[in-house]
Amino acid sequence: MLTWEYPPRVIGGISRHVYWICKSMAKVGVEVHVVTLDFPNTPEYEVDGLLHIHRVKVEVGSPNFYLWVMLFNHFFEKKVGRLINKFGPFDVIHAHDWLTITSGVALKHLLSKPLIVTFHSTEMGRSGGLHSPESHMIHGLEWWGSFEAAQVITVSKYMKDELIRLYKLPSDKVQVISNGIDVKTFDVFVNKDIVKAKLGISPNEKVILAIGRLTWQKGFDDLIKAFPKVLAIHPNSRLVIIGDGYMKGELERLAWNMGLGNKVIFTGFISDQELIEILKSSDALVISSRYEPFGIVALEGMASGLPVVVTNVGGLAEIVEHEKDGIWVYANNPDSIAWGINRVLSDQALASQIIFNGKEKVKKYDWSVITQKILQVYEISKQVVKFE
Amino acid sequence: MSNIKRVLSSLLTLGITSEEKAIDVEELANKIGLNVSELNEPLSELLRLGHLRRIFFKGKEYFYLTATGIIAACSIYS
Repeated sequence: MLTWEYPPRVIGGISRHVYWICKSMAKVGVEVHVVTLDFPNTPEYEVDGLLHIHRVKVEVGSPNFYLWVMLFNHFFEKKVGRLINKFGPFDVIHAHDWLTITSGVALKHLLSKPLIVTFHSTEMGRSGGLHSPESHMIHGLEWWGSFEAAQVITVSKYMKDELIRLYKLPSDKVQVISNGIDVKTFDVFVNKDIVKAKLGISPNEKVILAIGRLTWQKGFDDLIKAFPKVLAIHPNSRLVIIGDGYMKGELERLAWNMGLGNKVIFTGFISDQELIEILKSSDALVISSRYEPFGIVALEGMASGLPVVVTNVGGLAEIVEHEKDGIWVYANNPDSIAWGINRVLSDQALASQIIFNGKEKVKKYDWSVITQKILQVYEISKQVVKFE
Repeated sequence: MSNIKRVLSSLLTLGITSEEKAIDVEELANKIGLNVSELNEPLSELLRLGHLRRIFFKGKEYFYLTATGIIAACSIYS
């Protein structure tokens, strides 16, 4: 399993996705080796039953990100070479997103084993087009990876359509296997007042929660712009934004400049346990993304018993049914986002119905079910792979 | 790319992610291709956000990327 992020290195959804599928695979007797990048205060090697984690240091500095990606892929290949000597040959190579495609393709040909590539997003979607030479290169790598792969996995029907359109893939080469959730993790008692107090929020205040990388794609700027319209109807509300990213300073300034400095709380990067505590102490979860291939956070909101308000983009529009287990709002539209939040805060009967239906829905997204589907794709890959 | 993003990205790809690899401001400016004066604002902002850590050695300041800084740097490209 080749991935640039694995806990505690959590940048986006790939980290948790790989963590849970690997854990589930190991549980059903599959030996899994994850090759990933190092992270401060994290061991170079960890083993838990059949699950082995190998963290690789990039030994050479590079002047830009794209060269750095090529370099870390080189060190991934070196690591896998050493692992083969120690653990014997592997049966399949599974790469996640463009970032590990070069090592994935090289290893496919070196080992004569099938390559599977999971696309969690595309460059076209993330960047809203191909606007730079670097974007064109990433787009090319994505095409190359999808061509070299025996099977391609992606997380929603929306993404499958996008991959077929962009990379001219045959439909039967692309399998939709959604992200999942470990529902049990969210089935814990939390003292809301204590959790709120830690954030400086009083017990009678409502908490509107948003989670994700602080990047343009996630639309947190629209959410902050929407918040005055929520406060106009629900003045006892706070917006809590969990996550980190290059836009943190910019978003903090936006909140302050709008006079929302004491109404918007940025927690930064927090532990999984703290995340669950805050989820279970909130009153609504909002996803304001401009582009969202899946939207695993929506499942976490549902599992935590929150009404979810989501932009009707990408995979989110597949997970959430409007007015049944969530509320759809328009992306890039602060007025619409404010309307959705006010709708679930003002109509308790609707919110209760959404919460009930959401809790029922998440049951079908169990990681063990998803892992079985991935293992089936591995079997198909072994049958269809060709080497020239 | 803004200077904040350039600093984050460069520290990540140069591997300046631990105390032992900390870099002084002149060397950073040289590697990024900016003047030292242009680095004052982004360095202060990144220190405030907790993305950078500063250490002092023989009367000189050195900087390196923290764990949240690594995540912030990677978020530019994901």
